Amino acid sequence: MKNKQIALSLATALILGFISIAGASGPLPIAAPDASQANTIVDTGKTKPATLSTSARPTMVEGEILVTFKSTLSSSNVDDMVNGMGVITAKKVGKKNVRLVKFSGNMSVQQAVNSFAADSNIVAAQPNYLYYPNAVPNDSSYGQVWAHKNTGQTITNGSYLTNNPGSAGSDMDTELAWDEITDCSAIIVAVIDTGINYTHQDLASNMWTGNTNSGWDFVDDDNDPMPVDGQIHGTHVAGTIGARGNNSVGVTGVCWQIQIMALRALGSTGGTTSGIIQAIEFAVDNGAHIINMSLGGGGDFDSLFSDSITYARDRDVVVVVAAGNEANDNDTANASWPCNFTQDNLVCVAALDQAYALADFSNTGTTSVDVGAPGVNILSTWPGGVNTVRSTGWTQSGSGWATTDSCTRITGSPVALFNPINWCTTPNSTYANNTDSTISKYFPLNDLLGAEFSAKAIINTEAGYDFVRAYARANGGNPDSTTPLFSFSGTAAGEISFSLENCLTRFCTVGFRLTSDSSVVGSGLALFDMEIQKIEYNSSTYESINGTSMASPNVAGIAALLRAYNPGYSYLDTVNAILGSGEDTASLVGTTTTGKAVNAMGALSFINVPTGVSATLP
Amino acid sequence: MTRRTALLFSITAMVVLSACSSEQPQAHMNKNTMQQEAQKKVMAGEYIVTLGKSVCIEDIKQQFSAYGPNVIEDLGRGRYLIHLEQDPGLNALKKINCFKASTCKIQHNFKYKAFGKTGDQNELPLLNRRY
Repeated sequence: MKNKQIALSLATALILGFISIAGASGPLPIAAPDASQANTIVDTGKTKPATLSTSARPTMVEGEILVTFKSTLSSSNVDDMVNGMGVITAKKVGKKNVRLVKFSGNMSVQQAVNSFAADSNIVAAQPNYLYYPNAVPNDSSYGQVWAHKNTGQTITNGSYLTNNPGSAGSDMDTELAWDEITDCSAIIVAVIDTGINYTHQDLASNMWTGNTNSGWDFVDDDNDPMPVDGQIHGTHVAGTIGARGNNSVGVTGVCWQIQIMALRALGSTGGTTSGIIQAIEFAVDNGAHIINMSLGGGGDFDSLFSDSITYARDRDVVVVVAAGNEANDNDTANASWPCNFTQDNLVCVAALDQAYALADFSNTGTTSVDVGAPGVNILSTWPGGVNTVRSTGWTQSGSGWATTDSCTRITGSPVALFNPINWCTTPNSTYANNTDSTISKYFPLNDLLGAEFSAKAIINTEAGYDFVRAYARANGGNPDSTTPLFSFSGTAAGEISFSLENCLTRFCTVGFRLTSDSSVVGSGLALFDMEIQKIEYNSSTYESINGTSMASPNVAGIAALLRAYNPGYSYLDTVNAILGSGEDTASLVGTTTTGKAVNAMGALSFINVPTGVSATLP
Repeated sequence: MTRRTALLFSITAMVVLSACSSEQPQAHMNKNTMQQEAQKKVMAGEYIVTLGKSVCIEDIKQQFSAYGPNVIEDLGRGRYLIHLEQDPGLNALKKINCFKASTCKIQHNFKYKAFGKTGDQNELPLLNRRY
């Protein structure tokens, strides 16, 4: 009975190991042996033999056991005793009198446990158990998300060439963390960025449901944060935080389930203080636990932006931001905001490559940049794709224009549009004086993110007098009454392109017009390789890109895991766990405040120093 | 300043400036200042004003009248985004009593950008990419 009680207490101490040293601050294992493993612990003097579990894969390391010596023995005493036991090596483990003992392969683990347990100076002996990650998602491209599990894999189409492939093990240990928790659905993470394609197959079910379209657009001041200007950034960031996990498709976010709030504060030319502070306050006022801002600027201290970070802190919100991509030291005159703000709810993140070297573009700062995280060749969700359509079937108004799919003067051109009509067949031909001739074509461009016309052109007109112009009209008909999107007079050869962003309708017509005066003519123009590039939303595109923008959401995701796992965690508990638990990384020493790369498992197992606890002594 | 002059000034100030008295700086375009501020990555001519107690946005518009103020947006919590058609620069604006006395606050509307890596084709907006 006594032995049983001791065994139970030892097992309990292991399972609840953190209790015995509560108050100490640092990473501790949170997983514990299961019941079958607990009874393999052998107490001194016990006659009950250890029972070792068996299964399909190894449960313990052969040739090794963990031995706990009496606490009354000094460390040197223990070393002397171990050396006298004829073991191969004995490595100190942890702060107590525990040694990892490696012994001869002739002895089984069970025999070694029984043998060591018989020594009166030994409190307990047990196998060195093996642990395996169980929560590996089935997402089809998961193997390319090296931030979670770096096996030394090559990232396909990775544009950052250094250290691709990188080093196995240089990752966030997310798989180990997923053994504890994958579901952050109680947590709201606001992504203040360029908007999010909230219909993406890997995001739709993880979007915040607090309003109609999962957020707000502070650029256009409406309730639809879709990236209507074709910006890709926010959608990519969102996927790193919370692409749906284990849904068989695409990638896996740090959190498998979560609530992503889409706040569009950056447009095609960026954003400003006014939009960003409104977005922060919207996030805070609508229950966000974490805000990710993969953005920055290098102006003077922005007081109102800083006030908004404080506003978030005072309402228990963690803010994760990117360090910047200029390879600057943010601690010098190159301050980058919001990274350089000093509120303790803010974590600023540098980018690491696949070998945990600092990315060559990443900003640093021993007082401003806190940690590093994977930030190159990051595969994540993408808002859309490009569908290229060759344009044929143009209709002319007036005379002089012609089309062909075979023009001997243009090599390899499937479609050409030209004026005069014999441009292809008669090189010395010219257009007519007093010409005013148009040609146009109707394109259905509705329901697109954007569209662009492009073509190669050879033009020769009387400079300053005869003109080639391009037009587009959203409501159909001859487009030449609208403002020209392209206008040229003279001689040139090259590519022309113009956006059709104001013509995204069912009846967009695109046209060209040649006008000439009453004297002097040229050889005219030929347009070939004409294409309409339709930028379409879709829900199934993924791309890998680089940036501290891509590192920041990895940390925001870990913050979400932490707050989901520890619902009572304050912003400060969360930040302390992230900063205090990371992996010491050489490239981050002298470049960040902690010298650490974030580690999901380490953060989950970090024990915060209790605060505000009091006790009455008898 | 005679007592009479002082009285006239105070009456004028009350009428024009309502609750927020000030001495208005000369209204003129300082191109150097504008260029310097543009280099600091700010929106040209845009400022965010945070009102103090007993100050309303109409008071601010009155004080900025020489610069062609337009209120672009009410940002909430007593803050307004304004645009000045003629921008004298932040330092000149801060000389207005309401700001000088810290009753109100004024700052630039700073620019920010997403941290996509420069030169990475994939990080360009979809419309600007070439396939």
